[in-house]
Amino acid sequence: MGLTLALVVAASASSVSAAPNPKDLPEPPALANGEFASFDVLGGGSDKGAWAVGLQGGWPWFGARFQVGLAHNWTPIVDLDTALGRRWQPSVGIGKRILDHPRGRLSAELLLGWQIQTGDLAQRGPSGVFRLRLLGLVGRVNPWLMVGGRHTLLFDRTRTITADDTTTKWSARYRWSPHFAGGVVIGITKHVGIDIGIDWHFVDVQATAVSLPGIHLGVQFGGGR
Amino acid sequence: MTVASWPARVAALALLAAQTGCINEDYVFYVTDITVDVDAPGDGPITVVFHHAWQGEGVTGHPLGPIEEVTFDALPATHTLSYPQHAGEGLVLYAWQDDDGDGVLCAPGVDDEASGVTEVEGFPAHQLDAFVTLDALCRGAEGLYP
Repeated sequence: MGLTLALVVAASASSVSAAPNPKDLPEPPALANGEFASFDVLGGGSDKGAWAVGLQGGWPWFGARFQVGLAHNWTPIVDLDTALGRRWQPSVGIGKRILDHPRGRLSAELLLGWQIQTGDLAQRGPSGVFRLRLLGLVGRVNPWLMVGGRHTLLFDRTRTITADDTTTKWSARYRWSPHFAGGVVIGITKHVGIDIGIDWHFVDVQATAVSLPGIHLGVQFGGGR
Repeated sequence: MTVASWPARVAALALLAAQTGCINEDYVFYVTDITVDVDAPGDGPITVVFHHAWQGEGVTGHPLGPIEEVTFDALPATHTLSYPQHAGEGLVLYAWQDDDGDGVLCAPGVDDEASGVTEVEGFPAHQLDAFVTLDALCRGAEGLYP
């Protein structure tokens, strides 16, 4: 009796530990093919004809983003970030899913725009940002990660007034601000979702330095499918 | 009425955009040749420090603010000053005499080096004259102005 029971348990265990055939895996719930607007916003890249809007608020970063899919997942993006209304970063660019898998996606984005910072440390100048977005696809609640860097040129003017004339010289300073963000995104429906995440931006004050991390809550919606 | 051509309009628009949207630090240096003379009791070299009369705005505003320091072995002498107009207003000239040649104004046991200050009249101008009477002993600029 004891031997029979041991054999049954062993057989059950071997059947549980056996690697499943990938063909037997259940189909992910129509995620990787870009049917959820919220996943398009956080993971980057939209299918042709699909559009999505993302809005986020928190401390210190607020943001708005619009994207629409073209052929081959090329995705034009309009993006606006602001840190408490003191720094504004409007950008326009393009993104593309460069890795598309049933369990995740990786996308790259390149945007060009402007940086406007008000206050005592005012900054104005053209800027560009490159981002990589990674999204895991495990269900309606998925982890996402974003890594990026913003490069900004700040132009200074120096005028020298002599008795004979006035000369003007221009010079440029360069700023680099890497940033990271990550969190979870929840696809409530195909057209509406929310996310919560942390934002960690480095600041460039003549040296790239760590800043306090922030947190945000976002809402996404879209359509076109 | 003259209508500007489209290249001129584009150039004007670009200039406006550059001035309003691109400039971060806007430095303005006003170059002036200033002839300095002093009435000093001794015969040592004279150190002259050019100051703004006022720097800053609001609660952070304060009198004085050094621009440049020059030491003269003999006076009168003319110095070319690049005055940073973006950093303050007015021009004040502070001078002291280094009787013992140690490079510092007074010291323990040395309490008779003379100093003085004057606000340069006629500034801004590209040619200026400034005269300072060194009639105080061991006083810094902050102790003499305003």
